Amino acid sequence: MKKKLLSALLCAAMTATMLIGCGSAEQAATETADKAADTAAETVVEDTEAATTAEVEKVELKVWSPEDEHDITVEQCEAFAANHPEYEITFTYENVENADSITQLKNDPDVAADVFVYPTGGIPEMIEAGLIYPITVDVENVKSAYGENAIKSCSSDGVLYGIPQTPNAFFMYYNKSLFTEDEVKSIETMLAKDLGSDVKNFSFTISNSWYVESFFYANGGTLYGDDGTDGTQCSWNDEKGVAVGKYLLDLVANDKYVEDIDGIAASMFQEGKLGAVCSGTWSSEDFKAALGDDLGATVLPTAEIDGKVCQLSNFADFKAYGVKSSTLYPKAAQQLAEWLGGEESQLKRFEAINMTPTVTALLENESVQANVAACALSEMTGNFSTPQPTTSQISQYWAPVEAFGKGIVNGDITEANLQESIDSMVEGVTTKLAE
Amino acid sequence: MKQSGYDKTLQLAKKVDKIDRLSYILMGFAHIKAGQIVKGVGFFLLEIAFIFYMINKGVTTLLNLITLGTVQQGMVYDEAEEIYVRVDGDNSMLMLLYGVVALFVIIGFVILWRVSVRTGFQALINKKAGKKNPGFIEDIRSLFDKNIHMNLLFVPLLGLFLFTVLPLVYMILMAFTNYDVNHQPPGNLFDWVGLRNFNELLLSSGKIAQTFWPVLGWTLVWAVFATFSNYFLGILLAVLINRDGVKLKKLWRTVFVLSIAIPSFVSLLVIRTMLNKSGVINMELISLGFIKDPLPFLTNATWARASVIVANMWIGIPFTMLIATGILTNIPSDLYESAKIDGAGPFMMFKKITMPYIFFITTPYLISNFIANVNNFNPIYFMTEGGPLTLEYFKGAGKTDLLVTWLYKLTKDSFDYCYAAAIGILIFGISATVSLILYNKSNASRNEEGFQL
Amino acid sequence: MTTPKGFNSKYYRLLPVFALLPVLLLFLPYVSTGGKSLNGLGMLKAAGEFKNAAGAVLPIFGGIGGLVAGLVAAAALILLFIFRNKVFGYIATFAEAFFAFFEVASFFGIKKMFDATEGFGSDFMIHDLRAGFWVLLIASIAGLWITMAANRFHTEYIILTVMSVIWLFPVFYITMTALRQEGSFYVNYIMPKQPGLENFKKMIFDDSKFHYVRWFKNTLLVATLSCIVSSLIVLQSAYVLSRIRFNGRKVIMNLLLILGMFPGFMSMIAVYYILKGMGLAQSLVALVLVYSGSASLSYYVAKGFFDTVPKSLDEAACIDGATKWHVFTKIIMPLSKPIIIYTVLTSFMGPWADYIFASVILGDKSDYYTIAMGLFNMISMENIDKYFTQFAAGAVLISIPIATLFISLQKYYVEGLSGSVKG
Repeated sequence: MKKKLLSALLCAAMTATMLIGCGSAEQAATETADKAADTAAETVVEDTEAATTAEVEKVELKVWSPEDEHDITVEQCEAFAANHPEYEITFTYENVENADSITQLKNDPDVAADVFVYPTGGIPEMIEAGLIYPITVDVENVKSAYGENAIKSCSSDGVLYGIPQTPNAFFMYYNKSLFTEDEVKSIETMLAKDLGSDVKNFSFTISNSWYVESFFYANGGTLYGDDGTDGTQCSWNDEKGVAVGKYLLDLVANDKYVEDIDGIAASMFQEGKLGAVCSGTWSSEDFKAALGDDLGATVLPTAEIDGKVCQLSNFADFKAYGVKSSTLYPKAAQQLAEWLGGEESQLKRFEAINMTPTVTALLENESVQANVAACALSEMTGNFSTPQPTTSQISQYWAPVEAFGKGIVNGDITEANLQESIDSMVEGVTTKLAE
Repeated sequence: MKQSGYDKTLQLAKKVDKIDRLSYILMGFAHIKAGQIVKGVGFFLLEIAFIFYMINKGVTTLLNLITLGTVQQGMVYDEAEEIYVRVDGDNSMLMLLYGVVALFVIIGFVILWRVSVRTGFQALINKKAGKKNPGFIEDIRSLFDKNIHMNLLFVPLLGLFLFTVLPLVYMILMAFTNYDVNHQPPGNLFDWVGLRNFNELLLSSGKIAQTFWPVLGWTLVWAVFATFSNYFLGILLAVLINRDGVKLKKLWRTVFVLSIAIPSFVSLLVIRTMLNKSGVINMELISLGFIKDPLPFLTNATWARASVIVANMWIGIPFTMLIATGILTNIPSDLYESAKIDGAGPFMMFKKITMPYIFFITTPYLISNFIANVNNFNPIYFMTEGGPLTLEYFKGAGKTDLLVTWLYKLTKDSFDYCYAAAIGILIFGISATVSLILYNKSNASRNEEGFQL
Repeated sequence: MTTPKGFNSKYYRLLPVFALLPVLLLFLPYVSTGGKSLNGLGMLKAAGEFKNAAGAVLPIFGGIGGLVAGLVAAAALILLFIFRNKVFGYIATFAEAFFAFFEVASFFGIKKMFDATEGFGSDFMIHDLRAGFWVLLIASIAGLWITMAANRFHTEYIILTVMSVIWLFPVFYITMTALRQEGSFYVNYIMPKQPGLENFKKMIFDDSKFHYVRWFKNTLLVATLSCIVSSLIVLQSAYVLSRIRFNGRKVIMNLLLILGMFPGFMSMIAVYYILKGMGLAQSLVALVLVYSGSASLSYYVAKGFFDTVPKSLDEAACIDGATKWHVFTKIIMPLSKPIIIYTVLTSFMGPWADYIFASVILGDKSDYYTIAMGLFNMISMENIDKYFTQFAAGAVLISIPIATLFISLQKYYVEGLSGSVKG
């Protein structure tokens, strides 16, 4: 009560100073606010100290999972509670799709889940808005269990922000009755093969900015500097980038190529009218049902750009377990995230819903090895993909590149205005609106 | 000259005793003295509540509104616990919002205070003059008769203030801050920047200005086409159905009304899938031999613009048809009879009687429809999402984007709230100007002439 | 030539032209493609050379049917001129209707016919059609028009029929998609190959991923409550603004006019925090408040309606000692059935279509999701391939009750709306 009175008095005093001169008011406000922050920090520290000394800590954790993963998540959370007798945990669960979790978290962090799954591409955005907790509890041990790309994708500036749950990227499915294992290694070989007049050979989604970067990366282009941290750099409008643009124009013009929009490629592939399609694990079940043993999966192919054979390389994106910054139980929440993303949980999830693991030890597992899609995905993201840039400028990447891809596909971009269009795209990708 | 409330209060103040002016400070004092105990106590309690609020929260909230926060949220590493500890910072967004609430509380209190002073003085004067002041019960009773507007408008206006006006002021203020993708609360603070956003949108040479003007142009073109195509064709349809002798009127109407009854996002998405490159319309046209390659209904700028206008007709024409149906039955039949005697054909009668009559009556509808089309989110967003995207425009804006869909994308996809807010204000400016001019014009012509043939 | 009784002389005189035209047109070139050219008679001959008759049944039927109908029409018209009997007029109209229908059908089906014909191959296109066909097509439609007009039938039916087809096509398409049990999002045909109610069954009874029944209940609850609240708000504010003259009336009316012009999206997050401050965020009550809170903005239509209710009614009641409350509840309301139904109907339909506000207000409370949110989720990037046909079933399912409601109350809707624009 005393504090309240004091702050009221302070405020009154500030009003007075404000009336005298506005300039000094700001300073005063800064000072008081600083003090307030100090005291807040102190109380938090005290709280956590108190927690460790107590025998059983009462913890309330809210967990978000997509509808499909609800049951297995509940099961794993309960297993976590059983492993940690030092906590008395009350769990609440809500179903939130991975793609929506960041939006929901932004809307109202207070009611958001303590532990949730998100696509790692959203890390810069969440750091910018101060929404995500760095993972530090037992961190070195945790990191060692995963592949390098997985950890890179979950980190920013060397700090870990999530535990990789599963790779979130696309690779290539092909129809074994149309292509051999050797043929699918190169786009050129695939396009050259005659599969009949009503069968198309290869499909990709140039009009999607989450796909088209594969070609720019393939030809040695860099986005936001070499390590993806410099928001002002993008090399895609150099000679190599223009060569990629030309390659894409030729690809779209090729009669054997299908641009995958409105689900057309998936549909053709399932009918056996398409040789190879680039998609993710989300299609695996349907494809398997349609093609059976003819279904093959492998990494993205190579492309012969400007006479040079280049391996396509997409963003290594992952889904990861993260902890919100405003959680009241940071330690327990981090431990839960580590458990949910850990080896045992991943194995259970693979068995229950076929989710591709990220823990390196699990990739050797026999049943994982038997799953073609999981193998292709983990090989792609582990060895060929490029970690998505971690600068917050990445939020400016998507729209211009999508506009570029759509321009290529719709025919608005031609060889004549290619350089100009790529310049314009790079400008959009690298400029900040205002300081 | 009409007296303002302020003058009136001053005049009243001259007529009461000096001591009674105490009710300037102690609200309800005059009422109690004049015998209106409940009312007086009520005013007094409200004053106490206000003062309590101001001391407790109001002042800090107002100060925060000025600074929009000064402490940034941070993380401090705690070695012993192997954990970062969060240091709470200020949340600029909430400070802005609460500041607006505080402003409203203060404005509300000022109004309340004026009412209390004036009615208090009036009551004292009445008492002096020997008139009886209404008691509490009578006041309540008057709410159902003489003052029924206070009673009936209270809830609607309260709802309006809470869910429209207050958020609106918040939005308007946001346009003067730098609440964009780089200043996202709670991690970052944003601050006041004056007219910067408007300057960039309207006057700068940046890409955002190069986007604003073309998008505005298309918004107006769209609004004109969408409004008038629906209007005239809807009336035509109504006339066709309502011709004497046309049978099954109800059935025909029902067929068209179906498109109103289906939720618009469903029908628009269906139309979109039908118009896709590999959609059913293209596929059918190809298999029927009309075209060889699919038509770019939604992927070419001009085609897409035409497609959304046509799709909007599918939804909008039945609305006009229903309205016009009602009006048609009200057109005095003697107008037609005398025209028939003069030898006018059906087309002539439509041109000379039906159309002017409907036009005269529906002008306000037409204007509000135009404004609604400027803000017509659904047809564009669900049909094309503003696309086809173009590199000529600022990130994310496409060739069919209206200002309102662009605004939505700016908040949803790129988090540039301040620009979105500025665009919102500009949309409002355009709508208000257009509608004020048109309303005044149409009202003037209505009052002076009335409907004459 | 004099016009018989019961005919429109202006059009009657044109009839002989349309009786003879189709027969003459048989000798004009119809098609020329790949170096070959056929006239009408040649077309009939070509009909014998079909490779794959099954694929061309409809076009053949159309071509021959058109010919027969055209000849019947011509014969009927000649008989009409001889016997001047109205019956032949009817027969001619009927035959012309079939004639036009068959010609249009063969216009749409002609590629299928030629694709199946020796010597033309599959690269036939509509622009290979020559004058004979086009003139016949136009002549058949014009013939129908003229015959109908000459017989004093309403030619409006032609336009109305064409427009109905256009209006019903999307409805037909979504229904067919809902009935389609095979394939995923993208297929290149309309009629389902394996029609059935599987999608509807899954939508209603399979609760594992999509909770249609729950969404439906939530939406129904929200729609009912918010339609009650907002109807009350609209009606009472419209009554006050129409009937009571008080200080600030004009200000409030202008305010209401202007406030409706701000785009609402921007303030959604503010609305959320206001509701949170009231302790209501993420609940269905919050949704009701959001949908009905600003209802007074649409007072205009109802006010227009009240303006048309004679003021003398109020005045008479006031003289009898009724309070204004009584006037409102006992006199105006009972007279306002159309506008009440109109208001109830419009505010009831809103919540079924809104997904943007609902998703911000409800946040992660998936138990409270409404139908629009649920359906929208079904066609997100991840789901659309798999669930598009189920989505179609869901969309058809909600459209049925709403459409029924709307169509059965149409009359009042028109009365309410037109009553108001009269003002």
